[in-house]
Amino acid sequence: MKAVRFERLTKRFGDLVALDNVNLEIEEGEIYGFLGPNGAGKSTAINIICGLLKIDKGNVYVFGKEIRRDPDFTKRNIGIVPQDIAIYGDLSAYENVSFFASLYGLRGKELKESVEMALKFVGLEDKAREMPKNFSGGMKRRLNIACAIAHRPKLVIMDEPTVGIDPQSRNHILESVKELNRMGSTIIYTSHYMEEVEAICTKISIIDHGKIIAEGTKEELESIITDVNTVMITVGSVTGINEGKLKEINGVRNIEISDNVVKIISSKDVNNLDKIILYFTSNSIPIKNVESQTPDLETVFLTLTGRKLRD
Amino acid sequence: MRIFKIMTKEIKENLTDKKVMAMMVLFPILLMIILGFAFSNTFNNNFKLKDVKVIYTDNGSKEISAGFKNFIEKGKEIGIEFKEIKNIDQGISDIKNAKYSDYIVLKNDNITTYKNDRNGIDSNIVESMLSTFVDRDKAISAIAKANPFALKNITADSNYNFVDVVSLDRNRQPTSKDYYSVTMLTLIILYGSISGVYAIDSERTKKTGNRILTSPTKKYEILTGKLLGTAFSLLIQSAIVFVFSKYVLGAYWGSNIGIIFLLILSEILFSISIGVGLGFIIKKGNTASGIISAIIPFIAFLGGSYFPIDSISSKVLMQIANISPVKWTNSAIFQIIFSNDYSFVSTALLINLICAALFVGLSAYLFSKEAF
Repeated sequence: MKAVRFERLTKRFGDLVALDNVNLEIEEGEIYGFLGPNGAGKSTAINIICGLLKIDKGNVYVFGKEIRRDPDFTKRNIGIVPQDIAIYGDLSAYENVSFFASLYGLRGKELKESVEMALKFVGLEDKAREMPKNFSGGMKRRLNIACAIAHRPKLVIMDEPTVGIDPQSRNHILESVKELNRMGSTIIYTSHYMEEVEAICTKISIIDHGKIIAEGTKEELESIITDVNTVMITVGSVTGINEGKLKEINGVRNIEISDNVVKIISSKDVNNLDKIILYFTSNSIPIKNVESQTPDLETVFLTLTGRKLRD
Repeated sequence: MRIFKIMTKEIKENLTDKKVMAMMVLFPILLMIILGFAFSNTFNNNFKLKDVKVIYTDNGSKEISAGFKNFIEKGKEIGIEFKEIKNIDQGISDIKNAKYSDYIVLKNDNITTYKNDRNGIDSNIVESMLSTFVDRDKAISAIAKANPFALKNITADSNYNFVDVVSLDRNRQPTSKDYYSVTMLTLIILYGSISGVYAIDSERTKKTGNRILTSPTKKYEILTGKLLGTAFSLLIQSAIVFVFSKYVLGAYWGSNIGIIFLLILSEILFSISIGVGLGFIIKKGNTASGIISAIIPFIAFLGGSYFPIDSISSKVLMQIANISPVKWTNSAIFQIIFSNDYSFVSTALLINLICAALFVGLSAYLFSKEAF
């Protein structure tokens, strides 16, 4: 069964087309990664599924039911982990989870057990009576997840759930996502961290300018990029590198600079490595290492959208 | 059930917020104590009928003069001082200078009174008595023409009252402590509208509003829960202030607490509804609360929260004061406590509840159009 299905989904904000005739299917049981730069349409899609935005054209089905016809069914079966931490700082962790779970109709013993399960799941059972305003960023993120899963939703939507947290909490959250999936929930996961998407998602779509521009498993997406070479050049200092001049070299498609590593994506059929090396040496930029890289998701994304994921 | 859950969440948040509790409970209590002591002399002006001085010029007909003498005797019995003068211009001048409460001129069969607004209560009492006297005198004249035998019985009955003094509690007038216990309570309820603003705005800033909307909760459930929860919190805060003023400060609240509670409740609904409405109209909580904080002192001033507005003796100001909803609530409460007079209650309740209904309607409309 399809957990989510978009049928020619269109959403506009004035002149801006946020989602443009999008068709999409997410199978039940998947961890589905949504990749796209800011403003690509990810949040719009998520907000439509959750019922926070109205559909202009097309249809959205959740577990086979059109969301406008049966919004209560959809809402009961969805748990949303919003990008912004959405909890009450002055209510205890237990009270937070209990409040949100009670809005889904949980009562009495069932509510108590569900709240305890959710807090245990995110590793906050010892902090149940403490106020989240005193929590670390990672603990708040985990509580943010607990509030979304206490009512045991079949579909969990996680919108950038690991932003701004320490590696330990991030690992805990990623393991939680996989565990939730093992327990039977379908997950929609958006992140700016490509390595997270690579590590946990069973299927990924890349969305840009309101359109799905690629979809598949990680391997399927990487196989799309067969016509490019990626060269990673480690330099002493990136000061003085002119991206525009580098892009003028025949065959160079995209450049990404981070720390002291320059990633250059070139057309496979153009032999331009000597010219690239010459650019660095003639500009007195010392080269420490040169290596060729097989395409990864980051390369796929950069190639398809012309932008880095964190642009 | 969801309404109840949202309501209890609101109450928990409000009553555990130390800043809010300090503002809503400690602040009015401190003001009651400080203002009660600071203005204790100002309010130590217990009204006595002995203070009422009336001058008159009697150029009336024989009948009306005889009746008026009877009126003077009755007036003296309840402590009014009368002084006859001959010069009408002098009398008018004395009234202008507020030397006397009233000046009564009898000429043939006509009675003319002159009064100064500065002596509002005194003049009203004299006027009321005089009016009763005139009505009775007219009635006697009419009976004398139609049935002279009946007149004997009427004039024999000299135990009539010219003025109804039953409603006036001559033993108790508001002290500064009594006065500020009422006005500080109604003032802080006005400030409770800020809680209404933040009931909406906090869901925006904490991003929890949209989270609630992704659950099967309906918008009307959210709005109702918010209104009831914030109103109940304010009611609890008000009850603490009331109990302190009554049992610790010893302020007099009269014997009709039930009606006063009803008025307080209506003001709470009024205040919270305006706050919630502004929370939807103005998307930034700080701006909305800033506007409220700027308007409240003006409304409170007109409502007599800081001092009795009628002590300024300005007719224009008294007229303007009518636009202040808290003026009606304060007046109604004072009338109940000190005069057993319920005539302002329905007006105050109507003003509070109609305003509340308008703002609840507006909030519901705006909320139906968009998320938080």
